[in-house]
Amino acid sequence: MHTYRFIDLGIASEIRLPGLLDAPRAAAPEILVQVGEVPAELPGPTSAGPSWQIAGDTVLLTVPGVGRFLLTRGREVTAEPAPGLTADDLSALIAETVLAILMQQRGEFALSASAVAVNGRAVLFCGPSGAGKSTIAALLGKAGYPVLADDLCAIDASGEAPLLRPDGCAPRLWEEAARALRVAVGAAVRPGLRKHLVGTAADAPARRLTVAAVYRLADSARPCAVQPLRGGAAVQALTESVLRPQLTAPLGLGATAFEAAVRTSRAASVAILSRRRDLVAAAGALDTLRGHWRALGLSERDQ
Amino acid sequence: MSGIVWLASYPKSGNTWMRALLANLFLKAEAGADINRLSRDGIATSRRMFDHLTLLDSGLLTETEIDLLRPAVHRAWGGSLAADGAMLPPSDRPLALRRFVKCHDAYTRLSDGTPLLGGGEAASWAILIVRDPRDIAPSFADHRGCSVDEAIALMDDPEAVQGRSIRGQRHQLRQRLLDWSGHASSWLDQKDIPVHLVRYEAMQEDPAATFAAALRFAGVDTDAEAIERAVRLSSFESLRGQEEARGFDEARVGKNFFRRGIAGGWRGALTAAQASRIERRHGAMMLRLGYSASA
Repeated sequence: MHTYRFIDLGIASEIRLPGLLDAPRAAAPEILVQVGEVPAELPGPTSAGPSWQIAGDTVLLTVPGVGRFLLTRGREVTAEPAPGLTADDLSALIAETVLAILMQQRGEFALSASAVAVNGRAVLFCGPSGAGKSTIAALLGKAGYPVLADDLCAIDASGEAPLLRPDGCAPRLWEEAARALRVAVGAAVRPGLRKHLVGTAADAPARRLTVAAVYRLADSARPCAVQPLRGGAAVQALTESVLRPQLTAPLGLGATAFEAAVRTSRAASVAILSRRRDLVAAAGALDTLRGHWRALGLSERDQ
Repeated sequence: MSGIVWLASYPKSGNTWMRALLANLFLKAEAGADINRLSRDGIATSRRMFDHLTLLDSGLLTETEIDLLRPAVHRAWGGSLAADGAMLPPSDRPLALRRFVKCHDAYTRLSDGTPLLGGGEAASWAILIVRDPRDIAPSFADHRGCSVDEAIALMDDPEAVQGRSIRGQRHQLRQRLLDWSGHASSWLDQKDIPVHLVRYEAMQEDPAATFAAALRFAGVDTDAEAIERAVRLSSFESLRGQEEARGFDEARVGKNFFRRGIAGGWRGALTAAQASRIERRHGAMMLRLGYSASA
């Protein structure tokens, strides 16, 4: 059995999950991942999509040619590899996708976002897959801002200030971005894929930081710019950035997600960061961000 | 019934022009629709839409695994649009029920015969925009940053694809183009979705009538004044002017997307050998689409 810590949850897994933070076995792990038979359909699904079904407290995820995953009550994952594949072929999907859905099932408020520390506070970059979350975090990491999260930011919005709960997962970068940023990479996240783990999970500080700013990433042919969002627009940007928004309604998370987004938008700056994607423009993005951080009263540099 | 209308075309054949016309027809923006906001997810190979609907990170899947899911994704997308439209007041339905979705994929099938694009459940109409392949070649070369000969070789390649994510992740999923003739026949000869043929050259000769006919095909009735306005705001000069002033996200860095926008420009851009190579290879389809040989 492999044992990990994910956010503040203990995981016991029959499948190796590279990139997750190794941890001693907990007496009662919150999440159990096992290999076993998974049904092709759920009885009486209440909602469904091209690759998923929900029935009661169970989510079935089907990835043709890869495998099926049964997620129950945010606690148990059963994975069945497609014929010809081994359980290890499912590691990347479990570490990135299945755990994210499990967080939704647990009712957590979590954003699809990367994060860095700026003067002891967390700055988040949201966007869907391919928006450049990992790249901008890696760029800021090179500039001296510790990377806190790469893909998933769980937020505790219950108190006065929203707190980022880092997941402890190692960042992942595509070969192209890693080369351009001159970042050394580790193993591929999936055999044959040129997306790699970068550094180790333990690099991420396991502390909770107040969220000071949340940027939604946008592409633009124009110079880098920060466009602050207020009120409803800020709340909307946050609710659109939650993990797997397709599941918000079927899992009955609409009200909690909205409330957490409202609280976060009141305590943190929410803005759109639009920039060109090439690295020539990256230095400009860094200047623009530093300017915005000064305006927000965050100091120049994390120590 | 799905509200999706595929705007199918080989690359560099006038798809963006058609999308600008549609945006200017529907958006009614005073100064004309922003070329950088011609519905970003309005493309069949939108990675964002795929990930949103499947809950998956397509960056972790192979091209083959993505293709296995695409028919179901397109059917779900089409189904969701029809369902959304049903909640609108009847007067708003005809337009709201139409989503014109750009598509550079050829009309292909998976090994079990399932149409990659989900067949008639995913879309109810297809508008195929074609352009003289001799005009495509120099434009395609410029867009890809390759030589004209390389562009012609790609147009000859039955295995041609674009938008692969090998070393980095593209916004779009990989598209199977086939060769130029194969692309056109894949759409014209499929029986799943009614198809309306639009020639780029006809859009230039009589944009209003050509645009109106395409809209009528997709069941959209609109008045001549609105069409004239859309045509004026979507002129080549207007689109090029916007690109000059503010840039265009879909262009390669340092290159203009809106380049020349003329029909028959190939005479100055191709050598006689290049033109004749295209005519030899694609003569049958050129004839079928009404493009005559240069001799």
